[in-house]
Amino acid sequence: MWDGITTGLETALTLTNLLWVLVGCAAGTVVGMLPGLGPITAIALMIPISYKLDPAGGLIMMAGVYYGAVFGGSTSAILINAPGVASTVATSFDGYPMAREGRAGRALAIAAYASFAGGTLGAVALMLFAGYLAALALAFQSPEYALLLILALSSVVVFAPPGQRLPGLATLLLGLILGTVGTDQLAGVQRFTLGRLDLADGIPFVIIVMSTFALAEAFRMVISDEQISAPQGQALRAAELRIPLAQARPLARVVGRSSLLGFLVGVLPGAGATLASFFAYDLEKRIGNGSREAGVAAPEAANNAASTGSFVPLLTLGIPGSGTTAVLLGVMLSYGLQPGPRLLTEQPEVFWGVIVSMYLGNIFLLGLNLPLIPYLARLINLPPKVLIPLILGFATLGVYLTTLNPFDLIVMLGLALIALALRWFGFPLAPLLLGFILSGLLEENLRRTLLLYDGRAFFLLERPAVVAIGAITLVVWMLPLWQRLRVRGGADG
Amino acid sequence: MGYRLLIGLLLAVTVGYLTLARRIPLDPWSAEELVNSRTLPTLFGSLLTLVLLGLLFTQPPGALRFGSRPQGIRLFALVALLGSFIALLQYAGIWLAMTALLLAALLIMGERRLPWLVALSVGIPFGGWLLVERWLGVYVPGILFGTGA
Repeated sequence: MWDGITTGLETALTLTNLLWVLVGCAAGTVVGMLPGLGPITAIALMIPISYKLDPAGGLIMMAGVYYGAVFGGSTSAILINAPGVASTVATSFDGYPMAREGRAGRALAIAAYASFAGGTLGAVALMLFAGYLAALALAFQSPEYALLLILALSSVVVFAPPGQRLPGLATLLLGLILGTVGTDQLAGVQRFTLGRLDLADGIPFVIIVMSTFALAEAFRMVISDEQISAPQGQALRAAELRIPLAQARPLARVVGRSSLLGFLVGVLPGAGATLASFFAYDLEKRIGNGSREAGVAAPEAANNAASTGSFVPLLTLGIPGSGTTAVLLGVMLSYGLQPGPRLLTEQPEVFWGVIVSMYLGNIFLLGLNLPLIPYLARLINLPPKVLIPLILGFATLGVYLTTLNPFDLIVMLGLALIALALRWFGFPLAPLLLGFILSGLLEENLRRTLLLYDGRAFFLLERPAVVAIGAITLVVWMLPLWQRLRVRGGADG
Repeated sequence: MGYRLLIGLLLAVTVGYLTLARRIPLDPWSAEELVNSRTLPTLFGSLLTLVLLGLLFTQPPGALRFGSRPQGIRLFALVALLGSFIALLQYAGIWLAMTALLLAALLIMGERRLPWLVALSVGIPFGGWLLVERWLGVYVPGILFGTGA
């Protein structure tokens, strides 16, 4: 392995390849900041440039684009509540409120540090355990995924505050329902499209996120009494970028466990950074101190570690675990590289070069983004009369540039008004987004499982991972009952 | 009252969804299967109906305070503006339509400083055009001013 790392360092530390990491990080950050344009778009847009480079240089640049776009997405999530990609949605839950409290700089700094730590820990784990984890990735099949998704979805409802459980379940089901619109991937029939071809591919994620988060928030700011409380015109002090030691210690623990969780979830094909970030956020709210800082650090560390973890099945098995790694697989194939077990033996400089460049990419990203934070944070200090038009502009631009279809803007406007009504009466909208994101995956895996086992649950018990996840799910479902019994017992006592 | 109306509307939409779920075409093999294209939509729709019925008899989980009448009018104006923008962008292209959207939205929100109006409504679309069409080379359609004109 050490030989491999040396080979990787030799490949990545050439002046040309360092330059390509830098270019990739910068381009990824800029594209990722635009709502709707995530890592897949950023990588796809950089493909023509990568063709002009050698395989190692091209893939090293793409790794930089990937990380840059993930970090760029969290910037728009924190500043204007417009997470451009699903994996940064959880960051906006606490990041945006921090920005509204006038702590945008601190939120962005925590996101930068946590992304750096998550990505770095992920790269180290990838170097050390890639071979072993590939077996785990292969062991996870439809039954395990189906149960894991049920666990993720039920956690959102079970762990919500008691008064929010039923409304949370309602919005979760609304999200699941919205996710069923479009062509059924298993049977090929169109569902709920009302005869419109525009809906045949389903409702794009960017529409849901822009309508429920960005636009609905802008509308709420227009109509509500509550205004942005950030001190207007206040310049960000450099001190805000430094996390005090008393706060850094607990955050380091948050980042450590979130990175581990994120990496493991990221290794599983199909699960990816989104599920990892939601799991990490949820876990932190359960077992952590519940601070907003931890709520930003956990999903950021997890989604970056998961992004690295998703390279495990790609590099070791040739299986793309996410949409982004599928695009990267295409890039590798176009270079004549065949990802899989033989990549390590036949082209170690590419394998290890990519892994080492991930680590370097994280260092470059931190160096690039920290100096930019004071300027980015000023955006949230803009008065609402300027900020609201900007949110409208970015949201519509994000949707239109993704789909180039005016019909999608009509759908976005309609959904934004429904989201505003739901927000008005205190319905949480995060479960809606999670339900929508996971709806297709859940249906695909659940139906495949039931078809494979012909509805006989007994055979599922022969799969240890199914039994383990099933047991955890049952425990999670029982928690509210147990809490109620404890409260009643305390009152009686 | 507004809360019950919202739940009622959602219930109506869910019932419509369930009706459409029953009409999803199935081939003879799928119809015989334990799970098919109708199964999960029917499950989701039925569960949502039950949850909404439960919510009908509870208090709203929380409510925002409504500002003032002018704020309501401002929201209506912004929604109408977005509708006009959608109609305009098919003809004028995204960048010209975006200029109009930003300028009008800034005016609706009460911004009157000329340098801000010009900088934002012209600067952002121009920067977007440079980045998307010139640098990234993405084709953006538009009848009058799109790349494809």
